[in-house]
Amino acid sequence: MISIDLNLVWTIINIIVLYLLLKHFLIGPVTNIMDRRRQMIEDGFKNAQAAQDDADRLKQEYEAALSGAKQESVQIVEDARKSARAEYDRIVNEAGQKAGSMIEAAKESVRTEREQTMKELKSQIAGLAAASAARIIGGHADEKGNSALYDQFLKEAGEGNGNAD
Amino acid sequence: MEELSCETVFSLPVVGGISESVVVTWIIMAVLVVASLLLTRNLSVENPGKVQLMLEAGIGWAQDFFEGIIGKEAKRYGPYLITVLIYLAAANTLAPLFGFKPPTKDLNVTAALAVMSMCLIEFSGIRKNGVKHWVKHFAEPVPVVAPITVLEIVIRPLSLCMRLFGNMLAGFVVLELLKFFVPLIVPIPVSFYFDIFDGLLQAYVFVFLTALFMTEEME
Amino acid sequence: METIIAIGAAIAVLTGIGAGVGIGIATGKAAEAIARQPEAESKISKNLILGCALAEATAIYGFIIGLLIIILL
Repeated sequence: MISIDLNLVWTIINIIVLYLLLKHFLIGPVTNIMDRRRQMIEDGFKNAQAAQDDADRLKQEYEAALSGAKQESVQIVEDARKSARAEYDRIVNEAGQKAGSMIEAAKESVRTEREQTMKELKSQIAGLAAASAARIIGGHADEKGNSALYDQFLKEAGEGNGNAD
Repeated sequence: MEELSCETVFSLPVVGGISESVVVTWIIMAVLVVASLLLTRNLSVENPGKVQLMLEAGIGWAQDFFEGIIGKEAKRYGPYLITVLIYLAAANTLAPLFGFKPPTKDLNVTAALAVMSMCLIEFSGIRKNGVKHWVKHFAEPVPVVAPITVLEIVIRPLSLCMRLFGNMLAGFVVLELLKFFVPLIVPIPVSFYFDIFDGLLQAYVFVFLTALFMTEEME
Repeated sequence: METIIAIGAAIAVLTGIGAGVGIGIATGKAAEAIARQPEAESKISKNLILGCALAEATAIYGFIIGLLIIILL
């Protein structure tokens, strides 16, 4: 009982073998499992954090895009309004100009026509005057003849005037 | 007197007698290995069963315990200390309950454990601080105490060995005497005290002191 | 001769007195400390167990010496 012999060596060998066996079969697997669970939980936390960050980032992006779209739509409406106004102005201006030019052209043509008519009339009147003068000088200088001449003259002149208008 | 002696179970031709304690240690080893094989059969990370939870709680407690004493180095020395704890607990409590003599009643076993502890204590000191520091630390705080600190190398494991051996032997002797005088009923609570409580306490104290000495040596 | 050996063994076992007194004092102090600071119970009981184990060693040494005297002489 109280004696040291070779059994001490056997016991040491036993303990070393038991240490290796238990380390391999009990402590190793259990520690491994615990480490893996810890790792898994940490990963879960990390993933959740990442997902949260992702969601936040997406939301921010989305909001930015939304406000950008709003601004853009306002811009588009503004642009459309501006261009529509410009077009309207241009069209109105053009129409006004065209109308003006047409009126101008009409006036011009009326004026030229009138001038032409006046010229013709003048020349006719001059012709008539010349003819009547020749008749007065060359023909019978009686009362009757004179009055007929005047009448004819006036008639012709009136016709000329009526034609001109 | 006959109960106290450790019988030689059988003799091998070259190496001599194999004592009872070694055979009981073999049985305990077999039981422990089979039990750990059975318990760790289907471990799972996601949904652990009751057995696995208990296993994890036990191992986790032991690891935390040694980490609390030793600190960072506990990862390296933890498995050995846990092995010794499990072995001592099994040897001190299970063996007497199943009718074997506890192997720790044999001085050879406790001496072997103490020698291992001594090697571990000195090894941990050398590994942590180097040989030079290990040699120098004998002369601290003053060189005069050097003989005593050198003696401490032997005294610490001797104290460990004798404490375990004496406790288990004393418990065994008291129980045998009690069984001799009152064979019925009465030994049961006493057996609970000496075998289970004292056995677990001594296993705890043994690894606790080993870890404490290692910490001291690693400073 | 037998009687003297028995007396020697008995004297060796008297070391138990010191261990008993020491453990008693330690446990009493620990109980006081726990009463004063119940939250530190785990640390105190750890130290108590350590101290008791160390104090107990003397009694164990006495017991072993007694055994040695009986068996070896």
